[in-house]
Amino acid sequence: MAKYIVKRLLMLIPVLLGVSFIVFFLLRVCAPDPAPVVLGEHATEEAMDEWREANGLNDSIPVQYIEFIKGALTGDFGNSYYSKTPVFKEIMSRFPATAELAVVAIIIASLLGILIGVGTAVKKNSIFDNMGMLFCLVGVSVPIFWLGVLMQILFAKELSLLPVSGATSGSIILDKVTGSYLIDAILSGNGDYVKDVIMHMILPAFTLAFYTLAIISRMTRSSMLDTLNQDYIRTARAKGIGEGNVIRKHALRNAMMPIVTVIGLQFGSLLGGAVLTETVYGWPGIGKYLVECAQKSDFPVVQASVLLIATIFVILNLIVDIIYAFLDPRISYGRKDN
Amino acid sequence: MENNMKQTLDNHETMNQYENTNQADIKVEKPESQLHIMWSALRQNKMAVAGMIVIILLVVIALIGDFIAPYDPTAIDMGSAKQGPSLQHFFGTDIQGRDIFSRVLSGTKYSLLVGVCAVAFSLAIGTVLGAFAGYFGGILDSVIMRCMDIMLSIPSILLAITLMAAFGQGLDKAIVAIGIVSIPEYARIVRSSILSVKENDYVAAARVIGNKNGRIIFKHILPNVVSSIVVRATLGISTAILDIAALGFLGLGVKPPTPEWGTMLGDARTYILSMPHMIIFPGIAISITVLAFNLFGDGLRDALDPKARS
Amino acid sequence: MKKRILSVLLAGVMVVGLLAGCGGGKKDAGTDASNEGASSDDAVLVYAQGADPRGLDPHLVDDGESAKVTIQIYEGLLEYEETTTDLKPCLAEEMPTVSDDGLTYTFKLRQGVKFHDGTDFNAEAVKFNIERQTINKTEDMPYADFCYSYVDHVEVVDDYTVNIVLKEKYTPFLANLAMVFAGPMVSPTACEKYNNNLNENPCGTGPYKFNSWNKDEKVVLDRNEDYWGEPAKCKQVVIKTIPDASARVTALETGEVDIIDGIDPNMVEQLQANSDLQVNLDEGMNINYMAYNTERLTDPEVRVALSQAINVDELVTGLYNGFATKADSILPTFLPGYSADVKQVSYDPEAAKATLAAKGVTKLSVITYSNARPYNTATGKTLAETVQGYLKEVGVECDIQTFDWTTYKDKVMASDYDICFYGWNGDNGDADNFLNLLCDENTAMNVARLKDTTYNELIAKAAQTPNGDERNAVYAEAEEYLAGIAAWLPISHQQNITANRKNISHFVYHPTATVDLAIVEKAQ
Repeated sequence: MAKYIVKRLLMLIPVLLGVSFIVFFLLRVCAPDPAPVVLGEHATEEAMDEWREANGLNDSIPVQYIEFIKGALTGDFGNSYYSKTPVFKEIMSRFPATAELAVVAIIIASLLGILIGVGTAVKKNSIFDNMGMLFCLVGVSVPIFWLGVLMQILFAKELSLLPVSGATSGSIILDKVTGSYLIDAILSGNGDYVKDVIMHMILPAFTLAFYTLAIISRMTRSSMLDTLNQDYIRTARAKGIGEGNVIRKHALRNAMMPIVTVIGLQFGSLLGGAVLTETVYGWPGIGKYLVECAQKSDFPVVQASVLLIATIFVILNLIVDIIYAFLDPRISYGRKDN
Repeated sequence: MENNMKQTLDNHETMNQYENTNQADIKVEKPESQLHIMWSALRQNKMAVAGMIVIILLVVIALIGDFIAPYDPTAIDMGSAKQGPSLQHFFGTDIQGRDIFSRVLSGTKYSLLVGVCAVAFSLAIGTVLGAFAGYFGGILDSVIMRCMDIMLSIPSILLAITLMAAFGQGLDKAIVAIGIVSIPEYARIVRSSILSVKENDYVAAARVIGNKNGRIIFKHILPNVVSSIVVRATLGISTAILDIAALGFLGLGVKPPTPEWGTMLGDARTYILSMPHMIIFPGIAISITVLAFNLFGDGLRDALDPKARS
Repeated sequence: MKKRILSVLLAGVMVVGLLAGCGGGKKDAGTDASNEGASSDDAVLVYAQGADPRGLDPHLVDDGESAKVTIQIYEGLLEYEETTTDLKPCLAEEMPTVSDDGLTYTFKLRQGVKFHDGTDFNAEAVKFNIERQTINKTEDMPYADFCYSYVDHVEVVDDYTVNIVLKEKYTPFLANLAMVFAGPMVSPTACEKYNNNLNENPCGTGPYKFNSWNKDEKVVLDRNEDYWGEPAKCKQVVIKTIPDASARVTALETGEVDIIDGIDPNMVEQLQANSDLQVNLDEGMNINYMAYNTERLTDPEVRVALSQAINVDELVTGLYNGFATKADSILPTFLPGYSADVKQVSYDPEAAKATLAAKGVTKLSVITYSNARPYNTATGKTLAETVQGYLKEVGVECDIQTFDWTTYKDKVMASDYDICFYGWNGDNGDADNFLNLLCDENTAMNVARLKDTTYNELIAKAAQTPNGDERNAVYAEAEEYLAGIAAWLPISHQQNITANRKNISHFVYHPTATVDLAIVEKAQ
């Protein structure tokens, strides 16, 4: 197993190279010229050319790519074209906010999703099943940004229960320690700050979790139904094992495979969903920033953040595959025999 | 184990056995075609039938929407702009005085087209890639899955945005962009299903009796993972429709003045407080369409997969 | 009806939300930004705008969001009057004296002013600031050339006297010095300390000093207790980023923020009906226009006919809900040089149809931007679609391509269009800043691709003429000439729409789209 993990970690290298190459190439070939955005309305052609020269954009693409890889290997991703601030700093001031939102959302989605999924599968055709499935259907059928806006109108505007946007209220100044608003608020030791951050997080986290929650519920239900119809479940029941035990020990464990895949996959796509959620709720994370920078042709930021997200994603996939092995011992990773 | 062997040896027999043992609603008196069995199973599922009826309605609207629309969906009439829903304008009008009801009707065909075509595109490519990767393993698996990993690792919305920037606006381009973005999902799902099936004894049995690889994949393995593919493709049509909506919302997607639903949502975003009808009706249209596909797909899955049938 | 449908839907969403567990016990009390019971002096003022600042170094940025923060922190030698673009001294003690040849400007500096880091403000500091953007210029200072390209050199006469010498006469120079970009004075020691980049470590002489900046969330500024002038009214200012316009309005309505800008015109009536709020409508220093590519539509008669086809009056009322003025001239009405006599092509679809049919114009390629812009709240796409509708009526089909703003700039520079939509926000309150657009060689500026010697000569002459009636007359003549050849169809001047809660007073939105928050008071 250890050998397998090392091997998979080594596989990271070609994947990241591939990602960086695709992103680099797409940006250089497809994205608009950054010079007019960086230099503004008054830029002359000469000034723009001077700027492009200074930032190496006049070199051939392979040369630029090699320069980029060289920098990346030493941890230097350059400065944002637009803000002139080191890319690493720009990303690190936003990434923790997205990470905490995504983690909270995936926890909500997994817990509630498995709960709803198992519940509906076990109580098949009951009113609870029908309601649950209807909810799941609505969950995957509603555009996330549309839902976000409606929730904003309802909870923030009409009911005034929750703040409409942002991560903290105006009067709260958190010391940046980890960059995660929730953790920083807890570290500040001020209960009001923690409460404030939680209030701000509820709407975006649930909006972000909504789609994933529905998918996980569906997957859990269909996977549970598959396993519940297997012979060994009937055998287990026939042996007189309690229904709760049958569901937990026999059915759920065997049903977990596709569920884990979906959770793993969904965590990655949460980062995509974060773009729209963060836009609607003004959540100061990296998803919205990334798209903004892509639209501004801020190449260094886009390259570095995509690499970061890619790394996270690949590692998540690895974890999913390892969990497979635990859940289904029939899959062997040690050696390739057949 | 035993169960799996039976499945491979005689599909029909297994199904009949299940229908009997599970006290199925339908009684099969004589051997019927797979399609017939599916249809009779589907008929029992009220939700699926509802979904199907809605889809048929949507297809009809897509075909004749432009003719039954009370107004020209692209005609500007500043005189009657910004009206709320009324008898003249069922869904109200937008900021340029265009009739939103007519635009929603006329927009049906774009969402349907994008949903179905994009899924067909990515399903075809994704299934083949996933099946080969999962079945053959080794280098082929590594190469395919690393490519998929690379694609998956780039946030799909960003990839779609970049692809749209490269292709330019247009319905056909949106289909390809959305299709490309979701290939890896199908590839991964198919591969992981195959991984779990391929170590089953019946595959080994099929191999022992001398079946060719291609035949094993398509005859023995794929039919057994069809349910997960269908579940995924069902969600896929909805995802594709939601994706085109997101692209439209972000101002990419189709050329103006095409009344594509997501684009209408994007246009309406500024007016959400002053003219909520502008964002509500296209949003409902999207939700209903996606919901219909999900309902229908669920029914289809139950019908395809006798194990889940009751 | 509208309301009912909405509430039914919202109720549906709520049910769904409750199912999802949204009804958890965490929502018992709303958050509140205000400090109850604090005295007015201790108030925290919260301002919300639509995007995060690009950076906080006034020499390195060019966006309005940055400007609204930097103007609180930095000051220049000159500044604008509270509500107009007339000039008054700021860090200079008085308006400069100008030598007879019009080239040397002598500034007497205010004494005893210190930057926030304790560095003295003096003649050397002025020299440093101007040279930072001239001889020591780095390649990414967006406003350096615009502001200082006419500067030959700077002489320190004594500690508090400085001479700025120009290469040639240039009337808008002083107006440029008052601009929020390039003009403000930054601390030389801070520049040295922070590697010549104050984007994250701003340091000026202004009434507020920098506390913290959470990217994409908020900038916090503290009152500068050692300020040389009248101290700021509120103890602290928070400038929040709320990208979505509707969310901004909701935040104001719920009291989460005190002041917002960038309000959609269609929201004004609803906000005015709210007795807790005050809506401010101010003339904007901008122009929203449609440009003909004069290299492709070479015939002025065709351009005039196309302009005749468009009912600008109806369009402006419809799209901007009465909160933009139909543009009869390129210059906003309050700018020196504006003339009420200038008239644009009037609406006449019959004449347009006849001319266009005779000239055989049936198909045009149009490009536009997909976003809303400060001069066009309805988005370039909506505007283009509306124009497409008018042109259809006179038998001309338009093929519209829309692009995100960045891509759009690229497309404009590529010149592949018959008609494009654009706009301009004034920088410095000088007519040259607007009318020079049509003789600029830069393709990103002169989107009509106009190369007209008569016009260019007029504008060059005006730039050297001292401020006054003579200069204004030249600009009126230039506008008249432009209207005749129909290179642009000027559409509208957008009003700046802002709103504040009723307990806020002295809030002024300046024509240059900035706000001086130091004078704003907040009653508790």
